[in-house]
Amino acid sequence: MRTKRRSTHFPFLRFACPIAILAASAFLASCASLPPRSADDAPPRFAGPIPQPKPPKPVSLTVQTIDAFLGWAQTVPVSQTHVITQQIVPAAGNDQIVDALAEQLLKFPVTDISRHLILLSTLGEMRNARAIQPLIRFISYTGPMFPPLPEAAQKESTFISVLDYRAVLQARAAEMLAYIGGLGLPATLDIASKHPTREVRIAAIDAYLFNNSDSEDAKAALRSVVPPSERALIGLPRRTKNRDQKAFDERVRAFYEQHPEEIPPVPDFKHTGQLRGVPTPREH
Amino acid sequence: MILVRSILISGLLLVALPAAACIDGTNTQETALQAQYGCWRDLYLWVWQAYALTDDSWNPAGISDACNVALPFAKVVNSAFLINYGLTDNYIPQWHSTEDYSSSSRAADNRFHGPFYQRFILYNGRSEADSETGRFAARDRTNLHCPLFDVGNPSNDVANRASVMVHESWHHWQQKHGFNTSHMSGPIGSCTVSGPACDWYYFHGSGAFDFGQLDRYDINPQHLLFHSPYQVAVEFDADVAEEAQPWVPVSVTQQARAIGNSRLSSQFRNAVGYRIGNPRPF
Repeated sequence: MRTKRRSTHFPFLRFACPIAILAASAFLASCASLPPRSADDAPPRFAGPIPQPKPPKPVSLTVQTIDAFLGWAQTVPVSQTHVITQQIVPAAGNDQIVDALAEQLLKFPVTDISRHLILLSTLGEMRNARAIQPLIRFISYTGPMFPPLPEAAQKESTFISVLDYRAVLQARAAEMLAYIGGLGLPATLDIASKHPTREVRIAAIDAYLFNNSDSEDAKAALRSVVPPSERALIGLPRRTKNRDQKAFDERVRAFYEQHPEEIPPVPDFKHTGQLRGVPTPREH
Repeated sequence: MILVRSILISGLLLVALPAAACIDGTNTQETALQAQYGCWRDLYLWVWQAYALTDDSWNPAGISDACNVALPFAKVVNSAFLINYGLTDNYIPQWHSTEDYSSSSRAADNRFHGPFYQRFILYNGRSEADSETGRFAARDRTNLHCPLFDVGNPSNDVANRASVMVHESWHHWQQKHGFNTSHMSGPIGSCTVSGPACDWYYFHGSGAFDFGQLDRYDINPQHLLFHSPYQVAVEFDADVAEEAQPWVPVSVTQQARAIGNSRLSSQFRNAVGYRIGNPRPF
C-alpha cells in the first residue's frame, strides 16, 4: 500500500502554492488598474449647465438670514453677481447686520474658506464704517484660524509646507477694509507698512492704490511707509478680464527692466530631454 | 484539507487590509459646481481613465460612489470638470487654453509628459500632494493627500484642488523635458514659505504661447519662455478668476483669485510683477 510522502525537509512549501496564487492575483490586479494605452481621448462634450428645476431665489440680507444669504451667494454664477449686490444695497446702512456679519467673521475656527471669502466681500460691499474695527481685528488676529491639524501633521517637520490660508483671508480682508474707505484707508496704509505677513502687505498696497484711483499721491504715501524691499511692488498692473492686453504686458516688462534682479536665471537641465519646439506667439 | 486551509489564510489576509479614509464631507462651493453637470456618467468614466484614478487606493475613496462629492473620487472629478470645461478660452487674454491645461493634467503619455497614474494616499500631514518622477522599472505617479479632501481643511476647495492637479502634472512635464523636478527650499528671496515650495516665475506676455503650445519652451536667455510648477498653477488660478465660464459659481472664481494672489506673493523666489483681478468685493 502506497502512502503519500510529505515534505519534511521544506515545510514552508505547504504554503508556497497559495502565496504564489495571491502574488499572481495581486500582479494581475495591478496590471488591470493601469489605464489602457489608448489614444489621448478628448473629454465628453458638455452641452452647458443643466437647467435647475427650481433655481434658488435671491435671499435678502437680514440678521436672521445671514447663513442662508451666504450659502445662496456662494452658488451665484460669476456673471450674475449683480443679484448679490442688489440684496446688499438695502442692508448696507443696517448696523445690526454688520455686527452679525462681524460676529461670524471672527468666529474661529474657519471651516469653510469660500464662505468666509463671500462674507468678507459682503462686508466690503456694504461700505459701512461699522465694519472697520472688526476687519482690523480679523487682519491682526494671530491665533489659530482653522481646525487643528492631525497629530501627525503637528509633529511634521517644516520640510513640508502648505499655503498660509490665514494670509489668504487676511489679505482679502485688507482689500475690503480699503474698499469701505473713510478711516479704512489710513488703516490699510498701516497694514501695508506693518503687517507681519508679506501677502497681506502686498494686498494692502494694491487695495490702497485701487481705492485712491492709483494716484501719484497715493503712491507717494505708500513709498513713505512701505518697507524698502517692497517699494518696487507699488503700482503693480492688475490682470483683469477687460484689460488692454498690450498695455498690461508692457507694464510688466517695464517692471522687470526696472528691476533686473527679479529676472530668473535659465532653468537647470537634469539630463537631455525632448524638445518639441519653441513657442510661437498668438496672432492678434 | 491543505487547500481549504490555504484559502482561509488568503481570505484573512485580504480582510485584514485597513480601509483608508479622509474626513469626508462637502461644502456649498463643491456642490454648487457639481450642480452644473449633475451625476454625469460619461464624465466620471472619462476622468477615471484619463486621469488614471485606477489604482486600488481609490476603492475606499469613493470610486464606487462616483457622484458623491463628499468623497475624494468625486471631488477629483469635480476639479477635473473645472479644468476641462470651466474656462471660456478667450483667445487673446487667457494665459493658456483649456486643451493645454487638460492635456497637461491628464495621465496619458502625450506631448507634455510620459504616462503616470494618480493615487489617493491617506496621509495625516499638511502636504496637499506630491509626484514621484523617474521611478525605476515602475510608472511615475502623483499622490493626492487628505488635505485636498478633508472637510474643514482650507485646501479642500475645487479651484485649489484643480490648480494642484495642474501643478503636479508639471513635475511630470519637467521629467520628460529634462529639467530638475524639485522645488527650492524657502524661505528664499521673495518666497516666504518654509520648506521645498519655492519656484522661479518666468513671466511671459499673454500671447507668447499660442493655444496648444504650453508644453513648449525656449531657454535662450534673450527670449526665455518657460514655466515652473507653481507658475502653471497660478496662471490657471488667474484664468479661472478672470476668464471663467459665466455659469461658474462666484465662490470658485473668488477662491481662485485669492489663492493665486497669495501664491504670487509668497511662493516665488523672484518678485512677480502683476496681481490677479481688481480688489473689489464682487
